[in-house]
Amino acid sequence: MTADERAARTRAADDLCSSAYTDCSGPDNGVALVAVGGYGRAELAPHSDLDVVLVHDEGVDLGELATKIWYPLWDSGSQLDHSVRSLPEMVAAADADHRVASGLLDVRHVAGDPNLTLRLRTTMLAQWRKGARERLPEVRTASLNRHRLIGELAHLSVPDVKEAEGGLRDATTLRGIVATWLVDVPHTELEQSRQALLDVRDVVQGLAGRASDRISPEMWPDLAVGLDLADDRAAQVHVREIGRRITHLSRLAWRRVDGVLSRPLSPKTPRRPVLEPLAPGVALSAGEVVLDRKADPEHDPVLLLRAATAAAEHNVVLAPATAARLVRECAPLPEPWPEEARHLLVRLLASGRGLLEVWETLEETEALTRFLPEWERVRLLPHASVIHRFTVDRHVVETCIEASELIRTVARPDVLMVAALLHDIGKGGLTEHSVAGEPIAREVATRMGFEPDSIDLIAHLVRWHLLLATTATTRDPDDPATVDLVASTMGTPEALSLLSALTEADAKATAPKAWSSWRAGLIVDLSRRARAALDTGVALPPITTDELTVPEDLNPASVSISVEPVPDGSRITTIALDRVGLLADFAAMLALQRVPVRAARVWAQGEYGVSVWEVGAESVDPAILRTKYDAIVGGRADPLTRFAPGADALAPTVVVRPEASEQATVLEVRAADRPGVVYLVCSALARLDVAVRSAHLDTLGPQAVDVFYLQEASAGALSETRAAEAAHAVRAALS
Amino acid sequence: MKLVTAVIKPHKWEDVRQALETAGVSGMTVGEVSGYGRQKGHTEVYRGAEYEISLVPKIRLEVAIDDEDVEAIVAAIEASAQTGRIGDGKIWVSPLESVVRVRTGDRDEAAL
Repeated sequence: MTADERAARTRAADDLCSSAYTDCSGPDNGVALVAVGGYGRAELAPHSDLDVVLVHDEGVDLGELATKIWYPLWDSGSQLDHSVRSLPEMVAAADADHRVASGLLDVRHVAGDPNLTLRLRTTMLAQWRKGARERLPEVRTASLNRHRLIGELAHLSVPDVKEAEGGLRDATTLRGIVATWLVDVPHTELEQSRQALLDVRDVVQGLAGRASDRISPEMWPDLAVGLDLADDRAAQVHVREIGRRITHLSRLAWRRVDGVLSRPLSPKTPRRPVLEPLAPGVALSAGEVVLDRKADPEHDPVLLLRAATAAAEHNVVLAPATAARLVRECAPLPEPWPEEARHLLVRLLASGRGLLEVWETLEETEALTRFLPEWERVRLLPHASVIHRFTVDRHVVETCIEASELIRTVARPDVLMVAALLHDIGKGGLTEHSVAGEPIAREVATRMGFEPDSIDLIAHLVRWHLLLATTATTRDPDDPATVDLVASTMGTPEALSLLSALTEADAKATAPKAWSSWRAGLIVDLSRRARAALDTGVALPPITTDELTVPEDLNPASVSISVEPVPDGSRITTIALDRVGLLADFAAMLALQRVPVRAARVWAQGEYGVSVWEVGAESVDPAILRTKYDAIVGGRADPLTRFAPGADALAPTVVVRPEASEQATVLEVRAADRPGVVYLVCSALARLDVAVRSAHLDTLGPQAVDVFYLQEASAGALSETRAAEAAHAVRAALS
Repeated sequence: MKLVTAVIKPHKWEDVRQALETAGVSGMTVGEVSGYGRQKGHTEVYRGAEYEISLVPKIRLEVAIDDEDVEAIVAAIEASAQTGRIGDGKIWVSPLESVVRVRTGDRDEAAL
């Protein structure tokens, strides 16, 4: 089954049609028999319809030709789809319906007046181009509706190679988009995929014995034979991979169409590409993430992850050419990974819906194998269980997307996201996949440079990721042994929270049924009981009591700000006479200077307030920081208006932990990591006259996880009412 | 003919299914349902927020059987679904007026 056979079928049909035309004495002028649609493209499948139009110039009398010509074609047993139209009628029909218009793009001369066919073709193409800006949104809506109705070729259990997303109809639509001359797509790749899928359809129709484009489960082994592939699994991978590639090209093309349509018709601005910087070396150009002039892939191993993260977080395309160049030129990541790479990967995984397309680009360009070679194990792997909507790899991406919605419920979003990425990495072998996945997860997490306890936690979560779901549905939740099994396996409330979030994300990504309110009720109930059994105080960082040398010349009105370089950034130490609001002012100083805070420790040392900030900027000038600080204290800068909270997708979590400390009230804050977030929290506390005795600030992927030890300005922990007041104020300041 | 309906704890479903198979029941209808009985709902605190757990997840199964099998089937469900704790569920038996097997058009006992 090849292109040659399709061409042969088309030739046979052409012979049939042209002899029918000649036998009826069809004229050489003013009338033509043309093929449209798949027949027009000369791509007849074994059971395809013959889509033909008898077209004529206005005023030409067809006589009996219009009725007589079809009889020999019907008699031949062909499935005929025919019509008779004048040239203006065809133009009008194409005008009224985009499906007719796109079918006529492939019009091909079969018999009669070749000049008429040529005129028809030219008119149709010209009209298609002229009306493209109005037409394309209609085409897109129709495609999206079809996708919603049918599903994706890459992931459907009974895929339809024609109508599914990533199927033949999408490939034809792509040709139509290219014909508008508005955008371009990689031709060779599209054509190869389309031809490969046409081969598949030929075999499918041959096996079905009729014009069916659906691959039923029992068809795979025969399909493998027909396509000369090793086995049914190979056939699945082959078909699904084509579907995925066409889907990828389709999405890319539509993004580009969006970009073109959103630009004004006559640009007043110069046509030079405008680069909007997003991150070091990475910029946004015409809706795609590209490299800027300063990019230095050879000496910047993190650049690939930085570009991918920027694209996913802005929900735009990572330009495939950029990804391919990064694969070629980017230095390999050192092992273990630097902190920035780990941080970026977590942000990428937690970027939400934007992850899907970027991940596909990384996969297509083989960039993914550069930093996660283990991915090959699950690529296009079908699930053994029918409850799954998706193949394993897509399920994993969906799990990450679902997990990104749950990061405020955990103190370790980085561990959650990497566990979501790796939870099914053990699939595809004979060993139970969570058992097989544990050592792989451990190896990957180690390579990523996680701390030993985090590596243990990730590996443990992968090993036990089914524990909650299976225990909740098969064991008695009222039996203390059931609760004890979950509690003792997870060990800490932190691990249990992570498992709860992972279970929810995994189930939601599997199928809506897997997280029905009924199942969710069982799982949440068990998780809650196990948590109650474990909740004997949450492990929080202790109050810091380091001793730093206070400079002798530090007078009560002054501050000491010192900067020292550390790998990938700087450490800034500030010392000043302690007062309510001191920390807020330092936080504002760094935020105004756009210094990204990675982590910080804050403590009171006698009458002084000391803070040590780990920041992501490499050259920080203490003199400039001091000027900013003086401007803030002197009231010449108003950070409050500068750092008004944005509209974050996820609400912040602010929790008082009354049990954690006796001398101070512990406030735990999880919020989106944005400039000024520490300042917003601290200034809200300062306005309530609450002092920060000590603090631990951390940035894990896209989430700031901060723990504050609060005291009344006059010393002592906050009363219950005051603590609630403080939590409320912080929540309000962040949302 | 009788219709035996049982509402049981979800984790007991596998035990009950096996018991019914052993007792010779070859077909049944099973659903995931929520409800409450004498235990009523209860309030729980989860992730810092209070939840009213008024509806408890249960499995509901229905079996249509001959009159003479009722005792044995009810006993089999009872024995296999019991944990002795609150919320073990209920079994009730109701009369069946008529039954039709859709495929063949068989009626009543022949359709069971």
